[in-house]
Amino acid sequence: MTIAGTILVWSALIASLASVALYLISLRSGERVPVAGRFAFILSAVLVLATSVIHCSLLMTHRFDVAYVYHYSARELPTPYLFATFWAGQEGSFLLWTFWTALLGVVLAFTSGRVYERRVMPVIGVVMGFLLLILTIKSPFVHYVQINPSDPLHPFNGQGLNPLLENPWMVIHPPTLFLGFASLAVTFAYAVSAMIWKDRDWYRRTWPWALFSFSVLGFGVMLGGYWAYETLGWGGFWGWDPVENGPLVPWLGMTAFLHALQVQRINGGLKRTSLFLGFFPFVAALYETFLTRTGILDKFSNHSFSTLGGVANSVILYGMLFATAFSLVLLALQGKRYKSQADVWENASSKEFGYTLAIIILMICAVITGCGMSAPLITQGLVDLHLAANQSSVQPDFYNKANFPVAILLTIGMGLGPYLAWRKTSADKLIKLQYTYPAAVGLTAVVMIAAIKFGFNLRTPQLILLAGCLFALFANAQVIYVSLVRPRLQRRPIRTLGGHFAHIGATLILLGIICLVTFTRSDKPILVQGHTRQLETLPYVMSYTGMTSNLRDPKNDLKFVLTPNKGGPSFTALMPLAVRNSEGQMKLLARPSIFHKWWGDLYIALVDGPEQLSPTALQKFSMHKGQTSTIASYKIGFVSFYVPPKVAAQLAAGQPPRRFPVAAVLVVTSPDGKTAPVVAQYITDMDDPIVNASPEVRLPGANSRLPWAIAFTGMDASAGQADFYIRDASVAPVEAYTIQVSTRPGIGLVWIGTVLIAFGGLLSMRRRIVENELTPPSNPDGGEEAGHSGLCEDVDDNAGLAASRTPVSAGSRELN
Amino acid sequence: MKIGPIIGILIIVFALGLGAYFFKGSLTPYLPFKVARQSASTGSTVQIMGAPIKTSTQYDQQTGTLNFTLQEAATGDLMPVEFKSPKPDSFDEAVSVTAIGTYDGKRNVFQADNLLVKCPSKYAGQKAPTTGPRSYSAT
Repeated sequence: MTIAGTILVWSALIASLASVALYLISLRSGERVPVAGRFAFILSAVLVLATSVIHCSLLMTHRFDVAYVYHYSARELPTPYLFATFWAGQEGSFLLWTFWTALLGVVLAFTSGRVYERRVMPVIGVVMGFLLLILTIKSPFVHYVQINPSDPLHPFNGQGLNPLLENPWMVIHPPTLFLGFASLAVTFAYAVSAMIWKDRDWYRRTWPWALFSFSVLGFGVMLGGYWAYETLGWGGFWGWDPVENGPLVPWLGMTAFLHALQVQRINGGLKRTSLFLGFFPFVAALYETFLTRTGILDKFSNHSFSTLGGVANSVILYGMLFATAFSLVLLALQGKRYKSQADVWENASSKEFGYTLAIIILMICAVITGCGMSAPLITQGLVDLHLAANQSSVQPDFYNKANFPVAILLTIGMGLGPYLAWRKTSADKLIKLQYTYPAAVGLTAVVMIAAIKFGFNLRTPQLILLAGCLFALFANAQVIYVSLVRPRLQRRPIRTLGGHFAHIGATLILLGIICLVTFTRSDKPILVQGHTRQLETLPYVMSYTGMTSNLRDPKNDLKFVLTPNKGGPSFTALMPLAVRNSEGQMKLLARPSIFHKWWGDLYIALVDGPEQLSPTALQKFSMHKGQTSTIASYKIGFVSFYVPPKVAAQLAAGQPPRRFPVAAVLVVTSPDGKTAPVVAQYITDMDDPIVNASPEVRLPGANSRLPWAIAFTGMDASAGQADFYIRDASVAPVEAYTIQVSTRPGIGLVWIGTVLIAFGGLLSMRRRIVENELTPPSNPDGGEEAGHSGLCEDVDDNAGLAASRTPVSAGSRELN
Repeated sequence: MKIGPIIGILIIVFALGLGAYFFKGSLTPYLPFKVARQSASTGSTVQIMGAPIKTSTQYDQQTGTLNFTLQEAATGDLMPVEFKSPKPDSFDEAVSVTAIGTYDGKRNVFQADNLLVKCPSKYAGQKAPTTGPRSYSAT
């Protein structure tokens, strides 16, 4: 089957390249449907689908003779997570990206219309070819024996998935994110074709696709944040790691693109800007792929992927460079054919100026994030030019600090935007009663909050941001309210309000972050079973009451009970436990316990544990072979190690068995003079880490007065040294857990904001689709500039409170 | 002169200028151990990377401090590291750890503010080293 898979990948590559050629040939043939090219692309898509099916079935049938299946899956994985191993590794995620590109490409082929199909599909075909080329180099169908030639028998079980990845988000987040990535290629294709064939309405065709990218990619990115919050236990959702910044930069570019389209639609401005912003997101995504997948940022990132290898790295690098150069050269050569019809700088009180500032600020944010992410590359370049001493990276606080003023500017823009008029907003209109409401409310609220919370350390910059957020929130909410509650005749359909919903979503996210930064309280108690503890910064008394089951049960939780100080019922916090086998040792992973309250979350996470307490009952020591020590009044002589001969031979050959004991032979004299030999074992079991690796052995003379035992806990055979502990067995061992309890106030705002942004994007997408049906974009025959097309449903967005629904011609844009 | 371009340029200069300032301030150089030791005099934050020596790892729950030793791949140099926080996840399987912090010359220890932990690559294509006896530890 793997041979079939490889053949399918090669065939898909050939088919996609054939489709490119056939579509290009069909460019000469006029109005007929480009049957040959379309057939070749659909064939390529079907082959990609078949490849995905094979990849999936190899995983589901536990074909551990395939290297990818071995490295990322295991027999005991539940079915949904087994399915999710499809994209757990590099090869799988590239295949996922290719799959989505193929699917979107087929949709595009049928919906882009006669003329456009043969213009945009070649670009999609090239993108497919690029991805498939990477897949031929880095194939998911390589056999295990090709990687490990000296190990001819393929493994019985795989290495399995990292337990952190075994949760529902692993099934949802990567597909959503890669769908967003794949959709960037569509806008790129339209932008490229607009630069080659002049068409004044090109942006109208790509607008719904761009909104789709905006919604899906944005939502996918935040899904990753929610996953981190819910699973990892550090209480945050965004770490400014390169793999997080990577999709953010294209998303910011796409947002800027959407704003540029508004200006182009209403008065024909920013034409070249929107061309640039049309190809920017896809190129930025390629750059991000290059940074995060080729391993050059490995030293500086928490997320490490397996290396792609030199050839695949080069393909990505040259692909990205080619796409960038191609787009920039095209823009330079052909851009002047698009003449802007409006001067956005003409009047600082105009809406088009506001949009321009919005684009500038969004792109500054993209530049800041992109440069931060690329700092190791930049500094390495400086080192090579002898302008700097060392390669460096930036720390996460850089992004927060540098993006902070950007966030303030954005909120001001989102707040002022709805009240600006096209061309010019005259002064008297600015001071209209309705306009001052949001400003007044926002500022009043800020003053109020600052006064009440004076002791909560809200510093001036945060106050300004808070004011900006409230202002933007009220301004956009007011537009929505007025538009939906008006008399029926003048009511605007909800699909025209997408931008306002998205703005509200953005302000909610910022408000949530302000709350988190300002009002979080936390405590880090060490809890011992059976003891309660008053938390210091939080009004709860907390105790650890034990595990709900045992370590061998996959459904095992750590159980904690919290009692509020103010009275009221106690509640139980359960932390799902997973046991991980790392090189034969047991490691506990606990998911945080999260309680949703109206003001935010109560977040309880395991920081460390279990640790053995009560040091007086347990004494650790080390001894060399032949040494004698006195510990707790026992005289202990370490005679030698003992390893069964067969095991010794296997160890010497470098192939330790999965389970084997090593014994330490000791001579022990008890305080009352009894001497006896003692043999303590240390068992290594690679498959079962929960086995008692160090069974305790009673010491001679052990009775009710001296109930001591010894255990052999570790060794360094080459140094002839062994670790032991002796324990007073009458004292039960006490395990202590370090827990972090914190409040996460306002975190709900972040998730609501995310949903609102995606919702707003989808609303606008519906609007643009309806618009394209009601007034189809003009026939793209490269005609002369004759003013932009009039639109039937000319609802002027963001015109504020007095927009009328009557069709307006291009001339009069002044409203209110 | 139109006020529009002025506002635009002001915003760009302000935002990018501030960004550049923070960028420079946040740049943390990645240094070999030898050079990192010399940086103690400036007290600046640096990054070092090495392989953690498994038997050297100790976590004191009472003080909440993690201590371990890193070995530099290129030179074999050893550097003790102190991290005032419990073991990060996956620390035990880490083949490489990047520590970000300052070197304390007086105590000859690297004070880490943050650790980036690298797990062994699942697709390394190499077998685990088999030369020499292995050491097993139950910590």
